[in-house]
Amino acid sequence: MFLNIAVAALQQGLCYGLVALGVFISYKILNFPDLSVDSTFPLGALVCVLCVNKLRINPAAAILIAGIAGAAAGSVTGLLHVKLGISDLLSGILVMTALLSVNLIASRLIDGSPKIIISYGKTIFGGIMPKIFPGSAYKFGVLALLLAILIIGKIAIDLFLKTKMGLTLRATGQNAQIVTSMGRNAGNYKIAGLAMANAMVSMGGAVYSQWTRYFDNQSGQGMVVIALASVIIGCAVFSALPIVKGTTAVIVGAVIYGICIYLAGFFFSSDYLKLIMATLFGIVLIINDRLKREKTQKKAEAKKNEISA
Amino acid sequence: MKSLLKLSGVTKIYNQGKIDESSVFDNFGFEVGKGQFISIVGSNGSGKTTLLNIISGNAVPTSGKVELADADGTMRDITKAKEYVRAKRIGRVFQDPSLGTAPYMTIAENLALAENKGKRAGLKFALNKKKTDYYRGLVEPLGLGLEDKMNVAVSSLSGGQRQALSLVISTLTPLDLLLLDEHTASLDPKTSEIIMRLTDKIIREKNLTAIMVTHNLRYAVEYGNRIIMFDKGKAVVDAAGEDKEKWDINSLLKVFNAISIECGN
Repeated sequence: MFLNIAVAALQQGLCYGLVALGVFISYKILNFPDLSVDSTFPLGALVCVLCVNKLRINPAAAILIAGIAGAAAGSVTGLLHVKLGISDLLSGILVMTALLSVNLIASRLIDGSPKIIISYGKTIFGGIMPKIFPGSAYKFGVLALLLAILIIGKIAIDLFLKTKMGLTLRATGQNAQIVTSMGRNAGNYKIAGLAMANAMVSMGGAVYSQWTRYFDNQSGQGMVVIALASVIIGCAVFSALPIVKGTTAVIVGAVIYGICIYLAGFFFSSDYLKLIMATLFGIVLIINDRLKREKTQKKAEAKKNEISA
Repeated sequence: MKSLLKLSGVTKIYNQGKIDESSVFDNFGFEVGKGQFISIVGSNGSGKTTLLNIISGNAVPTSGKVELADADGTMRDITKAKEYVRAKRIGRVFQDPSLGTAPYMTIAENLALAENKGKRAGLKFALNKKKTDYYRGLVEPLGLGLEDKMNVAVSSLSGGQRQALSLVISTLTPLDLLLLDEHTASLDPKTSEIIMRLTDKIIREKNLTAIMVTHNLRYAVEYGNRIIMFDKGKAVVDAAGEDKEKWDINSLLKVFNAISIECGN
């Protein structure tokens, strides 16, 4: 019983991992508070479910196609901000709001319903998975598969950030002037970065839809909070250990936050869920702020000692 | 002397048509010869930084033309060229050391960024041992100990170290024109001196054309081969070569004070 809860909680946390990786790109790398996440998450779920149900596409390939859809939505956020000069927060809100309707219209037009079920056998968790992990081992198999997906995503991002293009993307978030000075269009890098971030988020939505076995436009509600909390928790936990990569940190953050939410949902009625999520996030922000202040204080003291010595 | 940069009939009006409208340049003309190292001095609001902004493409003139010489010497109109396009040939070091580097990237990563200027930013890895060694060789002659901090984030460096790195970054790839925007103003006197000497060395070694805006009259007199004093968008002093040698701090200060008294400062 306890083991089952623990495994399910862990699974939920891992499901948020890809979303957290996406928000890591927009929030940490690009320094862009992107709210379109709330809608690009269900967009990914929808595209994935439709691909599997209607087009009979392989569920793993469907996740990648969901990523392309997410990239398109993310570029819209970027275009609104860079080309039309709308503020970062508002461009995200515009895309988030509009996309909610787009998702609903698409699901109604194509499937006739705002909620679409995907059969177990057609997901990445069906097929050969139960054969490799029979009986009680299955839940660990799901865990392993989710973890494998996350690790692939993490390594891909880590490697990318070390390339020439990745370096320029990082510079864009830290100091857009240096990118301009290096003869590159910083706006285009912002758009590309947002496309990448939302591709990750949509792929997260796609994996989530296969895990829960249905598409629900509401599933993205509060995803920004979940992802931001994961990123901030992860970075706070490992702030003392700079060797740990940011991507690893946010995955751990997502698992911690995911477990908290799962347990909250387990002990309280679902009415309380968003309140608990917000409260947890609030606590994280306060602790994170304290940690930061302590750190700067220590630094200042160290400097003082250095001077007096 | 071959002309490198030419501004003709440049007018710049900020907040045009509004109550706080202010005109910085009115039909201003300016020419920079290849190989010149120009020091520009002048009081606040005299148009020094606006001039650099108009040259770099950071500010668009209300009217007028900006031209830059091609490799073969023909003048090309760049008035409409975006800042990032001009940056391929015009480098700039800012007063704020943090504008010239990416703070949370290492020294080696910042230099890799600089080395790739003008090249395609592909999916090849930016760094390897050989490259890091090459970059180490670039910062070693600065004598600031940067060579031991190749994998340290730039944010943890001092202002002087960052400004020295900014100088190396902006002059690493071939350049037609270097703009220095009060680039020693935020540093302490000793560090300021080091950076100024380093600037002069780089400009000589790489045979660069440079425009330096400074509040330090001594630097303006000591360095460079042309001196300009700005007042209300006009060059009240413009002396090059031997003419420049006649100016010293005192004579410069005399003109400067005369202008300031007119302004009521």
